[in-house]
Amino acid sequence: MGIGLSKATPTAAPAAPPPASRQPLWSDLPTDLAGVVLLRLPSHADRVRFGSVCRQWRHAATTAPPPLPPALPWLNFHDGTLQSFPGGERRRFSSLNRHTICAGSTAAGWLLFRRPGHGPRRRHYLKNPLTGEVVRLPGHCHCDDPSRLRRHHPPGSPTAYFYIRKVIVCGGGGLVVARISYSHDNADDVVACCRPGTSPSWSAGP
Amino acid sequence: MATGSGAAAAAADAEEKESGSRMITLTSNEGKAFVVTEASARQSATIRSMVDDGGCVDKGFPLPNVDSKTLARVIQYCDEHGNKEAHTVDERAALAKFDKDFIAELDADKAFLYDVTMAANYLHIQGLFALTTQCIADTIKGKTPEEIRTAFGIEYDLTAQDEEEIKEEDTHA
Repeated sequence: MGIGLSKATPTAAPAAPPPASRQPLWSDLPTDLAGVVLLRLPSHADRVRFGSVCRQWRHAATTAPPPLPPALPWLNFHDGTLQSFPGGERRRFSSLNRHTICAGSTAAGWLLFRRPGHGPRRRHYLKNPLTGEVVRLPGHCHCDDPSRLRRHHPPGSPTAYFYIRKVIVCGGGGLVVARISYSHDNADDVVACCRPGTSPSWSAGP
Repeated sequence: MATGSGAAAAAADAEEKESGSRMITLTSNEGKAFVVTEASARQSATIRSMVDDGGCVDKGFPLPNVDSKTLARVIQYCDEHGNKEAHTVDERAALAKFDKDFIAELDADKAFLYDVTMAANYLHIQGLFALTTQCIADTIKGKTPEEIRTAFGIEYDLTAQDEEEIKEEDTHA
C-alpha cells in the first residue's frame, strides 16, 4: 500500500532508461536518503562538508528529517576514556590520567583539557577526539581588574593563575571564548577570549 | 522440509510458505521477469508485506522503479541473505565476506551504487540499504567538499550566496 508498486500498470510499455538524460545522479540525492547518510556521519566536520557539496545536498543537510542528533556531547569517564554520541564509541586517551580533567566540550567537537604541573603554557588545551587535532591555549591572561588577582601581582602584567571553567570555540574565525576564574575556589568568574596561535594571552573582561 | 506424509493441501501450502520454497516473479521496468524464491523475495519488506497481505504471488510483482541491471544485482543480495543459513560462525563469516565483496564492487561504480541504494530504499531491503548508505557515508568521511564532488561526479552549483552562508554557519558552529 502506498509504496508505488500498485501505482504502475504492470503492462505498461517498458520505460527505457535513457542513460544520457540521467546524468545528474548524486546531485539529485533525495532529502530523506541524504538524512540517512547524515545519520551515519557522527563527525561535525563531515556534516558541514556534506552541506557544502552542492545545492541539493545543502538543502538536504539543512532540512533533513529526522533532526540530526548533535555531534556531541562526549561523556567523560574520568578513567581516561571518553564516549562519543551517537556513534557510541568509547575512546581512550593515553595522555589522560586522573589529574587531567575534561573541563567541557563544544558543539564543534572540541574537548577542553586541563593538565596540572606542566607549566602555564601547556596547561589548558583543546583536543578534537575525532581528528586528534590539538590546540594549545594561551597560558597567561590579561585582567583589567587587579583587585581580582592574587596579592603582590605586578599591576599591568598578565597572570598565569587562572582556571578555565567553560569554553566555546567559534569555528572558522578561530576565536575562543571562555569562562575563567583566578583561583580554584573562586566562583566569581569572568569571560575571557583569545585567538589561539595569534593572541599571546587571554583578554578578560571585568 | 517434507516431514509429514499425505499432508492436507492447506498444511502443505503453509509449510511451503514457511520454508519459503514458493517461487515469486519480480519484473523490472524493462519488462524482464526474474523468478526468485519466496525466502529471497522476503528480504524486501515491501514485497513481504504484499505477500503476507494475501496473495498476488501468482501474478508476480512489477517493479516500475527498478531497471533490469539493478534488479539482478539486488536479487543477488537477496538470494545470498534469503536462501542461505546464518547460524554457525562459518556461515555468518561467509555472509559477511559476501557483503564485503558485494559493496566493494558497488563502491567502484558510484552510478550503480546510486541505483542499488534507490532500489534498496524503495523495496525496503534493510540490510542492503544499511550496506549502501554506510558505503556512501564512508566515501564522504574525511573528504573535502571538492573531493566528495569528484568521488560522486557532482557538479559545483553553489551560488556566491550559498558560499557566504556556509562560511557564516561554519563560524557559528
